[in-house]
Amino acid sequence: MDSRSPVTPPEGGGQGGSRTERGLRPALAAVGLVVALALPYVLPGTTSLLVIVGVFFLIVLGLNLLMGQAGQTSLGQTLFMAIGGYGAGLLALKLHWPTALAAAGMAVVSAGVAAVLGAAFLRLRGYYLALATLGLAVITQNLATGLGPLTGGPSGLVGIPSLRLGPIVFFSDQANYYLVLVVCGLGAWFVGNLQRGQTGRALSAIAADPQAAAMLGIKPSRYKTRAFVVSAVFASLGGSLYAFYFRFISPEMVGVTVAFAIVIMLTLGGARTLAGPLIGALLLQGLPMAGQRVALWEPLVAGLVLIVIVTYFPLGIWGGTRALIGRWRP
Amino acid sequence: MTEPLLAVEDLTRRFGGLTAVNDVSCGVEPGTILGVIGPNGAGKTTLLDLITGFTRPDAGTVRFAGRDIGGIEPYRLPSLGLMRTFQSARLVPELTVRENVMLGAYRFTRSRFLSDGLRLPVSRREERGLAARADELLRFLELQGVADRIAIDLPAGVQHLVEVGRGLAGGPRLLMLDEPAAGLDDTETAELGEVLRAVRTGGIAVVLIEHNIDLVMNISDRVLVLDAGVAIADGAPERVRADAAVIAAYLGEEGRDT
Amino acid sequence: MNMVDSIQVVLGGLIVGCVYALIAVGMSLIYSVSRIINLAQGGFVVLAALTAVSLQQRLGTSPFVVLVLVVLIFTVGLGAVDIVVMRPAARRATPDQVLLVTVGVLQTIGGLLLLLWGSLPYTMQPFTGAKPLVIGGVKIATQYFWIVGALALAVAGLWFLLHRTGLGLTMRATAQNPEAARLNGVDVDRVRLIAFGISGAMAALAGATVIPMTFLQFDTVTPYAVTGFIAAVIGGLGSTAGAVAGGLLLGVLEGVFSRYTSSSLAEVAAIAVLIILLLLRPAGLFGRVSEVRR
Repeated sequence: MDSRSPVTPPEGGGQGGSRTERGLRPALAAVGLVVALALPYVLPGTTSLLVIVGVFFLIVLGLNLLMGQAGQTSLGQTLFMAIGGYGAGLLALKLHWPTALAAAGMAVVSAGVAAVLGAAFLRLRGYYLALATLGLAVITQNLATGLGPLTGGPSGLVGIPSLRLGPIVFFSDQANYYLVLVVCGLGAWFVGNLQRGQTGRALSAIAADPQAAAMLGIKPSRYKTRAFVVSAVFASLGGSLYAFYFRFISPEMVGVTVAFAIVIMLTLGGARTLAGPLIGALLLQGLPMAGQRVALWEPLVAGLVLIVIVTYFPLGIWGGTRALIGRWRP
Repeated sequence: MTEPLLAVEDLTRRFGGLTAVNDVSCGVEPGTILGVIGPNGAGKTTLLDLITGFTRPDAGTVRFAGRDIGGIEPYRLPSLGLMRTFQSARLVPELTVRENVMLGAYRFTRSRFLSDGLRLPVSRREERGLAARADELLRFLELQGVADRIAIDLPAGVQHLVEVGRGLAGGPRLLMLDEPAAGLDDTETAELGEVLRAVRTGGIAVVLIEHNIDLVMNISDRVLVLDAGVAIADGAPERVRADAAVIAAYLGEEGRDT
Repeated sequence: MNMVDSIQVVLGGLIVGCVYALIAVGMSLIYSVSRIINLAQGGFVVLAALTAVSLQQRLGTSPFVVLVLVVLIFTVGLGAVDIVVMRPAARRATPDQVLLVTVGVLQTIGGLLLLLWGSLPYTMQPFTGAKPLVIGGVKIATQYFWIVGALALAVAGLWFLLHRTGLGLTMRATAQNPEAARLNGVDVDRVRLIAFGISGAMAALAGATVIPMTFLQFDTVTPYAVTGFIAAVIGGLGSTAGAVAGGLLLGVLEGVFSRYTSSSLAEVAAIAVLIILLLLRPAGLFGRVSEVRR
């Protein structure tokens, strides 16, 4: 009995995770990286679009953790985009803070706001949480519009400087693209690690069955709040990058429609994966760029897609594809 | 006389007009198995829920390892050394068997959002340790063959065993099992009995709620019989088997139906 | 602010509140028989309003004919939405996901408005002359009567249906406990279909009567949707009287707030009230059952 006593705490040795996936993952990541690095040269006209896709990928990644992994719907991620965008913009513009410091500072502020709101909101049941966060989205847009002297009102905050890191000024589309690529890469790495680790398992357990999770020693409220905090930091950084890239931010850019779009991107691509948010961001942001005519159709198509995906394909495009492939395997 | 590891005293819980658990007292010593039997609706699961803080008692106390755990928040129980399983195995649907068992050892892990996200050494070391420990437990339960399968794709009986493994991974002093033999055939049930005996030998106390009377009578050190929320018998298996009230209320009529 | 001004502000708020009340009553009705929160309800009001404008322009008939037409179209239209969208969603998805589906419907309505009516705001002639009544210095637009009338008609009609007909009895039984009603042989799908139809009629009444008093375009769907929902929650989801009171209260509060600040900040205040209410008194001011918190 000694050798297999169930009472000794864990210590060293052994391997976790499926081996084939472990071998495939770095290869896939390497291919993705080469493609991403080459894109501005292969498709030079799309660099600006890709920056925006990257920003939203980052934001959706964060939401993925909260909504996909922990099962908590938030329609209010634009609040943190606004804190990151307006906050960092104002700090840089009015108080002449270094831009990177301003973005980092606002990420901390967003984390604090999320911690406080999370503690209060995450006690609410499923769709009441979604509705309270929808309230946040509406408040965000209205504050951005209504606090004119601070935010520039409906016409937005102009004259935000470009992001500067030491001697490098991220002014051009290309410079911003590579910046966003690095940040997204780090973000995806972080979220991927979380999902595969004990934290990801704990979040999945909470989403599936909070009571059973509690019986394993996991405190659901703490995990949900922390997932909310991480999602807020991602959205805040996304907002800051957004504002520094456009050197401008307006209430529309953090409007309720955008808040919906973020959720649609996640649902469309498929939660709980890394590729899902990317596919969602590409499709939803790419569509309007296909021309003025198409842009007019975008809200309608996005709405219909959300209905169809949620009802008939709850795993999303990427999640559904993976499930299909998984079924073929022996 | 020293207090037992788990001491339940005069526990009562009413739902509306129904008294689901009525003035029940029992105790479990380390390294012993307490079997709990009774017809459906006798209050067995409610008793577990009361002990683990899912339901608040109307009266009575629950003490574990010398401290009052009445009304405690369930998430604090594993760190005190109390783990439980559920009547309908409640495993995490999208995780494999190994990952589910790894999650059982949650209370031993220090790694959280930052260290996991950044793959800090502490996180990697713990991850290896968790996997090794899970594999060890799966071998112990003879489940190593299904370690990489998605847990909820497996038959209900196997899921119950995985839940037992998940409970053991938490290094409990007391393991409470809610009908772990449901869905197991005779051979598997016998194996479960062996597993529980080994667990007991390891010094762990077990509370075993079961419909399978033979299993309970074979391996329990003590048997508690509930009927309509009341403890109608409590003692050594052979004594309980001979108890007239038990035979009348339970064994004679419904003993073999599940 | 003098007396007359104050009355004017409160009156204006009450009128806006009637529209919120109509949205809230519709939402509340659907919620009570199906436990679905139809966020798109406010969107249908804007869609109905612009449909009324276009019908008026095309047909050139009296506004009352337009009103009747719009009510018919939306009664049938929301019935169709229930069958095509909500029924499959309610069958397959969790409550969270069903809420997302209604967000999708709201987004679709906005998209449809943008596509068919463009991004310009629309309004319409008042039903009965543009000249307001003046009583003691307080101006009362004649359209106010139509809006109040629409709300009164909707509430009275709903009350009659629920309390004086067999169908209403079934609906009330369903509202008590949808699952138990289903087990007792009630065709819950049919009850929900009827509830959606009724809520469509209410959206049409609200949209067609309010459009002469305001300007609406594709991006006003969300404010209406959210404010209507707030009114329903203030009143306690599932209670008609609560929904009316919640709508009126919210309208007056918004009217008074926007007197002192911008309308954006007034809405911020209204939503802050909602969130605090959700946290402190989840059953609403009139509701009985608390099921918001874990």
